[in-house]
Amino acid sequence: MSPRIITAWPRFIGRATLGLTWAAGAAMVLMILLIIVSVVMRYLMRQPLLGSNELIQLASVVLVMAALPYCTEKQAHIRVDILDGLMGPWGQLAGDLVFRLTSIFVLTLLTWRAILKAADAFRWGDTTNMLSLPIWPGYAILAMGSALCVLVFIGQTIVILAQRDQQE
Amino acid sequence: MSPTLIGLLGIAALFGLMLFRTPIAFAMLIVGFFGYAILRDFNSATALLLTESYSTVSSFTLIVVPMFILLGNISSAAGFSRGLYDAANAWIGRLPGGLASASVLGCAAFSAVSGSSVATALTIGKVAMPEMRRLGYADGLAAGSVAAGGTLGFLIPPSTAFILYAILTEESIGRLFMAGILPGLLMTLLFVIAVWLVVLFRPEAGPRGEALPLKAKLLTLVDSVPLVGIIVVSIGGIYIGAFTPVEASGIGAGLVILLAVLRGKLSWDGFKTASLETLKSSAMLYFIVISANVLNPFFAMTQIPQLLGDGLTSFGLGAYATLFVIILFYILLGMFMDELAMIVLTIPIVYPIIIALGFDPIWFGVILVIVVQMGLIAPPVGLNVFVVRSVVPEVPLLTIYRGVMPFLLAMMAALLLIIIFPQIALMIPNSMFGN
Repeated sequence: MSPRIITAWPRFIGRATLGLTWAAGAAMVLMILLIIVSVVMRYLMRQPLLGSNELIQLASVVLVMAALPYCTEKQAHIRVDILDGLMGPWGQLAGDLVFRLTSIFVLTLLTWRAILKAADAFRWGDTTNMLSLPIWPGYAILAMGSALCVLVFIGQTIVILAQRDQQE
Repeated sequence: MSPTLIGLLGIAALFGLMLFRTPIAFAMLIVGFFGYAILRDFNSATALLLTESYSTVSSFTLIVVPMFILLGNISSAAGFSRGLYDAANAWIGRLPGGLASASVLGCAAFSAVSGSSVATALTIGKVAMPEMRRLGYADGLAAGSVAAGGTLGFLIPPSTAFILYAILTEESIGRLFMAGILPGLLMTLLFVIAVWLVVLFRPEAGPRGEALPLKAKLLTLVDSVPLVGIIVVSIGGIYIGAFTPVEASGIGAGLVILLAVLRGKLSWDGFKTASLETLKSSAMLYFIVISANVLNPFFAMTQIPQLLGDGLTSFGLGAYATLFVIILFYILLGMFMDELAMIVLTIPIVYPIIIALGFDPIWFGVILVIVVQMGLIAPPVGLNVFVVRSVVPEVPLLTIYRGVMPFLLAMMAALLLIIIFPQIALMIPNSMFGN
């Protein structure tokens, strides 16, 4: 495997996930502001901010799906590691590959279904109840986050295999 | 092949994947997806995957997760934990074992802004451990008080464990938060008693701290008032019905950022790091919930939860003996497994049994969280013990495990008291929301 790919790919993925995480951070700040404004409007202005829930929910989709690739890239998902020492290098390699390849398969399906749903919602003009916000962007963000997770896993698989090659 | 047999194979695959390095959320997602595809069809499984993913990430209730995590992370980044610990230390540090008790109180106070036991143990540990070691505290008592005190993060609202339990069982987050208050205070008191008993038998383990003049003591209180005010506004707001839990979490996060900025304690780098940590932890927790929501329909189709429930009740053990078996099962599981993952994996099976036995689901939520807390400090894989060890790497693991033992006994006492007197957990939520 070309050493250039081994170093360039993770760097590219790292930048992409961190870039998307900025969007997640912006969504988080927006959520706080929306919550505070809606409470202030309700109590001080006696004027509930109708439909703010819909905006907050859309921001929530951005927050989670834009942060998920970063979380995956940093390998922050909880794992049981009590048998790691007993498995040996081949057992560990098998475990790492099986999990990543299966996850690539399942997340690719999720990406595909989300793209179809976004296209469908766009075509039929599906909107939310109160603010009539289009719902396709939510599914598009879900597809983007899930697709980037797939790329992260592909990158990690390449690195794992390359490191195995180098050790041999 | 019968659905039950497929379900049993699914459980075997789940544990196989988890033991072979697959993150718990992905193991649940993979087994749930393929299991559903086998029992139904492939198309329905992909539809389930999309529906559950979208409904989870757009869930209004779950917004409390990032908001409360941010509240805790910003408090930690701004060094507010130091203020809480200093205030506790100023008032009770002079007593025998006072610094260890102050660590417990500091943890309890910090738990009211943080839903994570790891964050609580780490934040207070960094402040309290050097101080206790400087004054010659026994390593076991010092580390034990921080490791055990940190577990209060799971019990005192806002608690990540309660949020997960509420989402999986469709119980009210507000009710569960309120149910955690008195047990949290009770456990804090029992931890302080545990410190006192240790020092009673081994006075050299916890020497008296330095005495402070009254003015200095009052100043520490003044310093911690704003953060306590935020706790009162956000959690108290839920109690009096002014805010929903989502609003309380957003208001709390907003106020703590404002306080940190106004006091000049939050740099851009600090804010960035706290935000990145929040986003990472939130994405991880959301993905666990997505995976649980994909796994549960598969398990429901296999009828395994129902069969297990029937099996347990058919032994004729009686409600409390069955509860004891369940608690024992959790204690054993907690020794080896991550606490949040344990809740997510077992609740779909255990919850229907608890309901069938006639127990209050809110009360059981508190029992569950206490048992999960025990797992956080119980050997061989007590997460909080490792967290404290990371603060003081020179203290042997065995010393810390010995040090947490009195606190484990205190937890057992709290558990027993709450089982005998369910009102301890139910009094506040029932007075607010009715029975």
